[in-house]
Amino acid sequence: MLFNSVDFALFLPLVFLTYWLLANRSLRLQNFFILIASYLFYGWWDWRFLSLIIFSSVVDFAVGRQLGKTEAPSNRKKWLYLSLATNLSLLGFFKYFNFFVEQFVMAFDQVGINLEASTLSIILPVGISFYTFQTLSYTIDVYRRKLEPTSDWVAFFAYVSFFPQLVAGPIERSTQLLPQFMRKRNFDYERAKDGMRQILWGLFKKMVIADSCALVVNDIFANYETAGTSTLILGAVLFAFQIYGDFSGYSDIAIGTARLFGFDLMRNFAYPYFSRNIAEFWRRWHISLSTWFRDYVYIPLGGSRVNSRWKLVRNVFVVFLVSGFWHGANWTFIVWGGLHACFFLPIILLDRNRKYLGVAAPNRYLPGARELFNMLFTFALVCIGWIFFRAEDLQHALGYLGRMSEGPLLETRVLRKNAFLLLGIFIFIGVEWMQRHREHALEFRESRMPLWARASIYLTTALSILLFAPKQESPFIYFQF
Amino acid sequence: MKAFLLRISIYAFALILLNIGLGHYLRSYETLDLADHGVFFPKLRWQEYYATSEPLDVVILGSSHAYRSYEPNTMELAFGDGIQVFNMGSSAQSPITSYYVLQEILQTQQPRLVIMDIYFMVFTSDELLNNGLINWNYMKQGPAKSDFFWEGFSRQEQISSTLFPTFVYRKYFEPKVKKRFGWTYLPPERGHYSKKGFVGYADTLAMDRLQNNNQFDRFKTSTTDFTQKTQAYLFCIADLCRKQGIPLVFSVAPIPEVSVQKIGNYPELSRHFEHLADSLRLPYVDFNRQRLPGLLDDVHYYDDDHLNLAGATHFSKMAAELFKPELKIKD
Repeated sequence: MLFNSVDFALFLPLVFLTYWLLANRSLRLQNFFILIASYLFYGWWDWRFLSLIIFSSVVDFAVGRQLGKTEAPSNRKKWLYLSLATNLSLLGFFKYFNFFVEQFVMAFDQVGINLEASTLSIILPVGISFYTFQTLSYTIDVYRRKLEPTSDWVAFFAYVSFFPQLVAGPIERSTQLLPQFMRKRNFDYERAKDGMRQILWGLFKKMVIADSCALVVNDIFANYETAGTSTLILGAVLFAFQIYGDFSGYSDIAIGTARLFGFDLMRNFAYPYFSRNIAEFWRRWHISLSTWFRDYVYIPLGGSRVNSRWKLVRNVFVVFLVSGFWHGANWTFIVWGGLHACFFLPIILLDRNRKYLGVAAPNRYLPGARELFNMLFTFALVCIGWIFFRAEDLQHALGYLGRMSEGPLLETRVLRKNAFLLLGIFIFIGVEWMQRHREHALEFRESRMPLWARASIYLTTALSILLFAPKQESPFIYFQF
Repeated sequence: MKAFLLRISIYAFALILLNIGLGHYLRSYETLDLADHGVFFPKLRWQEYYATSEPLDVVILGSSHAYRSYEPNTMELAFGDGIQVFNMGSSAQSPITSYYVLQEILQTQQPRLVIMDIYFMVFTSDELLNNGLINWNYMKQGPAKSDFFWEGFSRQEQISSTLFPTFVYRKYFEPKVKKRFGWTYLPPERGHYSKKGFVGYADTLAMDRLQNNNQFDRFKTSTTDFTQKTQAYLFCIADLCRKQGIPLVFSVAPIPEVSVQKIGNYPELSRHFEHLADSLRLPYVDFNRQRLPGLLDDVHYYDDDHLNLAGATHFSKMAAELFKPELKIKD
């Protein structure tokens, strides 16, 4: 079930009302109802893959219980490895099996040995990368004794399959989300109201910004061979806004929906395109994934507190390459991760990775010249990375970049044709810039804004969605991961 | 909780009211602006159809290829015998729409032949908010209109067309804004509505544009892009005709030879529908594989996939000769 579908528009109010009016009697009933609703939500897409979520939940619930009973470190490690092996095998099979077979065959082909490639027709279960990481977070935290193992299977299964963030995150940490399943939720008017605003803004970002950009981006990336430099730059810049609108829009809807049910999910995006260097970008982009890799991969490797520069370089590359590979079985994602590692490395080697911790231009309306330059430079680097992320394969990405230096420099026709879209993006950036101190762009201090003004903003945003959503909607990009 | 539900209800109500008002305004581009200039063909077609009192012998269904290729007056002359032809094709008309259009026709008419023009691109989407709604809006209340809405439209389309007209008619926002500012707001002229559903356009496309600026230059559609639903509706049309004892012909109107060549997999696409027709034991004539003599790329087409008026006249005469046996008319 997609967030921007009629099915979800009917599903959400039904589940919301039932949850607060009927299932509100006890904590167990609340959790049980969320579990059923989540399975229904996921099964709407393909009920067969529910078995994978249930299997993953059973394994990690059982491993957690065993870890709670086991004291011997070697035995505890065995239980942890069992969970890691099970979850990563599932992920590896569904997501990477064909990739590895193809690479294996190609490698042999290079040395003159022809092997018959036998790939499988595997459907990638939606959200597998997300819920696998969420269940792993539980086992690892229990193993590290950061969290007591739960004996409440309903709460645990609901935690793994919680429908707002099941298919594309935010990837929640067990220490943050599971305790929320352990206490009864009471309806909170302010939280629900803010949740609705965030849903509205998320829908706007997805249906207007991302989907409008997608049409132009698809055309430019498909026909890059005949496009000029300015068109190709436009393609990369619009893709930056497409993926941001798409994924942060999804996250906003997820977080807002969770708030309607009394849950607080972690923030996933914090205005990443206002970052002043790549380190700051990674603190603001897909926060739940980057912190996951920081906590469970980077820091266990030693992080930045290692005694040699070589190890630091290794750790940075490992975390970025793994993060790239997490996105998909394609060399483009690996190169994308590698590029970001290269962008990030000078910053960490110069110890400037924590230089920008607050928002840009605090207490000012506009950024200073230096800040603006830093933001634009960072954005340009990010856009180069996005070309690899968006390309079908490496040849496509390199061809796209190569063509940038060959084609005519300025094609005003293309810019004129997309003037309305560019104006829309300009307004969108303006709104986000004004609201950069807030969690999301529709968060207001009510005492400062009269009701009629707020109502006008909500209705204008909603009408804009109806009016400016392009005819052709695009699937959520992160569903393929 | 009560306060929250109350607020949400008020906002939802206000949004629906506002969007119905705005949607109504946007739709007036179709019902007033385009109609006043005689360029909104579905409305003209249905008006003329309902005003027709004489029995129709041949009905043509399909997309713009249908209503721009099969010229009823020429076909009537070629058929002779007082045969009456009406072209009920409409822009991007998918077989889903064609089925309910035919159902509506069969409420009052008993044609002797139905010609279903097959254009492969309309099989790639089930969407009806454009090609379906422009017919549905002008159909008279009755079982066909009702079935079209409840069976043909998806749940999303039913809700959108009822509650969210702003969403449905948002494509008219830009011309409406242009009109407000006094800019050119009507679409470029693409022909005139003449009688019996036909739209002819006298212009001719230059060969170099056909060669160098052709929409099929990067054509990628294959038979796997055809939806189950559109193909199933082709079977429904065949079934409906069979039950009523009406002969049905699948026909493919010609497009320029250059375009056929640019569609690399044209034979594969054509064979797909030929197999469908075979399985239904229906005649299938593809005028792109069975090229008609005298149709020239640099004379008879106004764009890369539509005949111009001269082309349509030439084609209609020859097509009528070919379909004559289906009407059991002797030469």
